[in-house]
Amino acid sequence: MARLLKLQLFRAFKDKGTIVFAIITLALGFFTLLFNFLISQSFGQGGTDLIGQLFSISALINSSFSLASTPMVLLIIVGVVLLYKESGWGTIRNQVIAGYSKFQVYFANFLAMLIILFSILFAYQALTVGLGFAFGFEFGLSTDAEIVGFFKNYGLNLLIFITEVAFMTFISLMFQNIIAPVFLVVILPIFVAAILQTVVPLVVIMNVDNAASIVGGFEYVIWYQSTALTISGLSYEMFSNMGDLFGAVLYDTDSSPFIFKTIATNVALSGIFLGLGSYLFSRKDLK
Amino acid sequence: MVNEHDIVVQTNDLTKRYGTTYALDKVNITVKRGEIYGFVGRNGAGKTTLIRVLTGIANPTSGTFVLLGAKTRAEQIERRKHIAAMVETPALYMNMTAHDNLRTTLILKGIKDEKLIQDRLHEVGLDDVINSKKKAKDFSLGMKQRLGIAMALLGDPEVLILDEPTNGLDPEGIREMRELLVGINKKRNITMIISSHILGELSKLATTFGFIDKGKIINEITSDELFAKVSKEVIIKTDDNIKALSLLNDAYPKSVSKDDNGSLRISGVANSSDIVKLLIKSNINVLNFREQENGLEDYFINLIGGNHNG
Repeated sequence: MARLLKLQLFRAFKDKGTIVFAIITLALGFFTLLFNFLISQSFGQGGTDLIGQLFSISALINSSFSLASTPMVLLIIVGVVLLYKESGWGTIRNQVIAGYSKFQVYFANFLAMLIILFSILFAYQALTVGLGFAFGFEFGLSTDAEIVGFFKNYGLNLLIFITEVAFMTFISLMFQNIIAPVFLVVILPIFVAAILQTVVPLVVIMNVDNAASIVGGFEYVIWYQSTALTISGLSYEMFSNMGDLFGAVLYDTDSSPFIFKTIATNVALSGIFLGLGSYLFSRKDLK
Repeated sequence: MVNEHDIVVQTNDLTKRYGTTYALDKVNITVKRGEIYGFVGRNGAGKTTLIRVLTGIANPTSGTFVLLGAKTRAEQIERRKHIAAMVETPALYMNMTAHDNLRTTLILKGIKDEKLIQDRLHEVGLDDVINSKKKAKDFSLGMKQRLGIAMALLGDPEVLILDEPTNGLDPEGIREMRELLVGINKKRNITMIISSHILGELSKLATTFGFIDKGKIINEITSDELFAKVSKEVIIKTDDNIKALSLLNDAYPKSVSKDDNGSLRISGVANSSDIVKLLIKSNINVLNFREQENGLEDYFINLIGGNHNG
């Protein structure tokens, strides 16, 4: 298993596309902060208004997990293409012929994608912290409760990230082509995220009856990400800010049931994608 | 009696079905240690499917096989560490150099000695690319095939399985590939299973042949038996074909057949005058007699029952 993982990391490191996308992701991080810096200069950075909160470093870090954010979209594309190349070139066959079970191959691909994609994302977040301070942004965490909330949210986002990578691995290895993963893992979630980003604020603004249940409905219909909160592209902090802004709170993100639901859903989905996926893959004829 | 240890691959009614189509239909073959097993069949006959099943890429629908003594799936996965294969096209990382492609195999097999990369590239005649930055995607097909074989040879496998290694190569490339494989076999005494739809090509390499058509094994013979069959054929008509057939069957077991014209065909005969003497001695008059040199491809086409392709 360790050798399979090492092979995956080696080939990703040798893949120009992965390197280029990683550089683009980091460059985007730089330009995002630069853009935010220029805007905050216009509005007055560090205020108590929404803009000040949105531009805090902690908010930027957690929003980077969202599928509606450009870094995440780039990462998913990197993962889908990397996984596809193994099938497209037939090199995934070499691993089976070399005496590894398809079960091991499946898990190695998943773990490798998790490590590669999170490494790029983490580099993006580290850059955000470094450049954020250089540009004079506040981290945005002053009280103990805020610090705890930040890490809690980071943990939940990470869990959702793992589910997304498990889903990406499942679709890519089961279909062994490029069209299905691009549509199901990239285009459709972005499309759904875009719709939800529009729907959530509208539901709140229009003060629709049962707003919470309407938005919550998306949570169950769209199972790519476990919560409407995340799939709408709104991080914990951004969502809370919107709730405050519009005077409505659809979810109490600090509540134990919400956190429990997020954890349970993602653990279950990851379990399905990894357990069922590896089982089906082991029974599948490779291309 | 063949010792179990000497059997590298043995299939038992191995079947692979796609929907209602049988790609493999109760296939039974035996590959012994040290052999070069030529697996011959037209395109779509089932050669690649059998290799895909043996290498674990595809799962059989039914039937079993023994691979290097391993009978269970878990054991077979473990034993595959001792085999190497190139199935269909060479599976290469197209964005990597030859050197890096071989490194992927070193990683997979847990081999630390990077000097082997140079040795294997030299062995397959790819000295030019040892230090080259040229990516595999820019290689010619022949170079890709050689690189695939170099990767397969890392780790000193006991068995080398090659699926149509000369496919798509020009005549010069085919000759070079043949010489390469003969050299590998001589140097390493490795068991090889090589598939091809060109019997003439395999006949220069293989020691045993398995003929497959429509997913079924139709004949499994040694190269000596094959050459005996194709070397010379006597076609004869007598005034008593029934008696002659019985007589010749006794004298030349498994070598006599009767064709649609009522002629008797006796293959693999060293001295054709012996046949005439035998018949005359038994008071059978020979009405027509001729000798025919049969090519390997004719034998193959006759075996699969016609000149059709598909």
